[in-house]
Amino acid sequence: MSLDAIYQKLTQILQNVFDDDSLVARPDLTADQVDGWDSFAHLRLIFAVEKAFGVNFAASQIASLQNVGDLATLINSKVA
Amino acid sequence: MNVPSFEFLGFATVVAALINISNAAPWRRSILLLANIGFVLTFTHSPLQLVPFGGLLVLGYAGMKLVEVHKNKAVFIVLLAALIFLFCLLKQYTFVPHALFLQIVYFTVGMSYVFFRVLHLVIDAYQDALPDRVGLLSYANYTLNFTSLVSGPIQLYPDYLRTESVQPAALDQAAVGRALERIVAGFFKVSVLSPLLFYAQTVVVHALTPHLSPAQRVVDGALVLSIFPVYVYINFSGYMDFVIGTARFLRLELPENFNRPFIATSFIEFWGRWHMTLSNWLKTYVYSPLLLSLMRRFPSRSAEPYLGVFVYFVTFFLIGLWHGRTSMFVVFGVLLGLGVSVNKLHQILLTQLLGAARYRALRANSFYAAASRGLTFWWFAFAMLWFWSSWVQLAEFARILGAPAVLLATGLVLSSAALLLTGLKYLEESWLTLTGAGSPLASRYVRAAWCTTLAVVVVSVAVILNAPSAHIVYKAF
Repeated sequence: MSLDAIYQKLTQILQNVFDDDSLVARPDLTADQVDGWDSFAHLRLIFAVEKAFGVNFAASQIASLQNVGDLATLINSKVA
Repeated sequence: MNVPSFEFLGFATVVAALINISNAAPWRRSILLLANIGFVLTFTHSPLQLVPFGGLLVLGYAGMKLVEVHKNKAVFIVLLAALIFLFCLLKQYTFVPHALFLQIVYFTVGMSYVFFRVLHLVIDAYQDALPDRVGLLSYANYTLNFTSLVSGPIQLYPDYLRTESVQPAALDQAAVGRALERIVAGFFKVSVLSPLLFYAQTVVVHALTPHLSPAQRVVDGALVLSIFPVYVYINFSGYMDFVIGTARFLRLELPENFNRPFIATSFIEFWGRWHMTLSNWLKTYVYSPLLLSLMRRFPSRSAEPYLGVFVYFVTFFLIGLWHGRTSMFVVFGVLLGLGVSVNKLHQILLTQLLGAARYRALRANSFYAAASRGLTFWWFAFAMLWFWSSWVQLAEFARILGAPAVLLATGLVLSSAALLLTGLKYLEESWLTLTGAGSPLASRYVRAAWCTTLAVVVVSVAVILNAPSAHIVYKAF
């Protein structure tokens, strides 16, 4: 799967999880920039990503994500 | 050897001088290992006292290697259970049968912090999430790092490895200056401010008698409730300043453990600012896996927030239990769990009721934020009663104060904390603006003069008191 396709799918997931149609997945997007992105919302996002991409993340991988770019790279490494 | 103390500073200075002779990783690791062993030995009279602690470390290392090679879920679970049981046994938790306890004196300093490090390595090894194979030398240095052995912070292995061998933190003039400032500030907090607060707490507790006037009961009740959390913060954050500064001279970077916790406007935010390395550890290895596992088991979008509430409770209940072995700490855990879970439930319900935008506007309201800050401090202070007192003391407080004074003291703490902590927040922000880059107050001469003054006060107090170095609250864990 290409990175572009991953970002497209991530955009849909972000919009769905945060109930905000204006959200667009981009590499530098961080939790601070999205209202309501706390540790609970982070896990809802991870859960949605795991379901959508058919992957599983390790505990420390989830904790080390700094931005959407890190998430996309991690997904890419799992689906490649 | 006590941390912080002049003795410890002397020891760390020698280690720093030796470690900085060469940049070669084997040299740095070897010196650090010798320092770590030397430091641990200062707590014991016989090497035999180290055997049980060593057993925990050996089991952790062997287990990590085992699950690294054999990704067997059953083996992994048995190993985790064995590590947790061994830890509870060595820490002599009351729910472990007394007959199983080792009937010898053995070394336990920093065992809880080492336990978190070992558990993290085993879990990450099983999940293939470690950056590299962990060598024995790095393992020993990571788990026993003398700068963070006694009371943390709980650093994760990849962060430790980066500065221990891969990319040691630079030690230029600016870094030396900042590190010295942290050491002096930490020493001042632990040796001067925290004994004063502890003394104030002791005086207020002893002054509680049935003969007090009703107004005095309210004021003293409020002081009994409020001084201890401030004392713990000054004591523990001072210790952190001291060890973070000291580690920089070894070119190691330790993570921050506090970020102005009392300005938090919710109990959940508070735990993102207080003992952050412990909170982050539990978020990573308890909260996230448990919540994800429940989400997978009960896949309902509407149920997710309530699963979150439940998992918040479990995680913080465990934090409470970790702090001690008695029934007091069970209640402490329940109160912490209630604090975060009710806080989360409140967020969910208000978001549903008002909508995200109006709830956001409410949170931004200064009065609401100040009231939330007061409530957060009060609940933490209330929970801390089970941290520092006993059932007998609590019954005595309740008997002397009586229900009306307790209620009024609660109101006094809530309103005073809302007012004072909001004032503190604005003062801190003004101070940060005043001391920003380019300000005369930020000049190195002013900072050097300030640090020298603090250092003189610390040395003077040490000479006048002529007593062992200050007690660190979290050394017991």
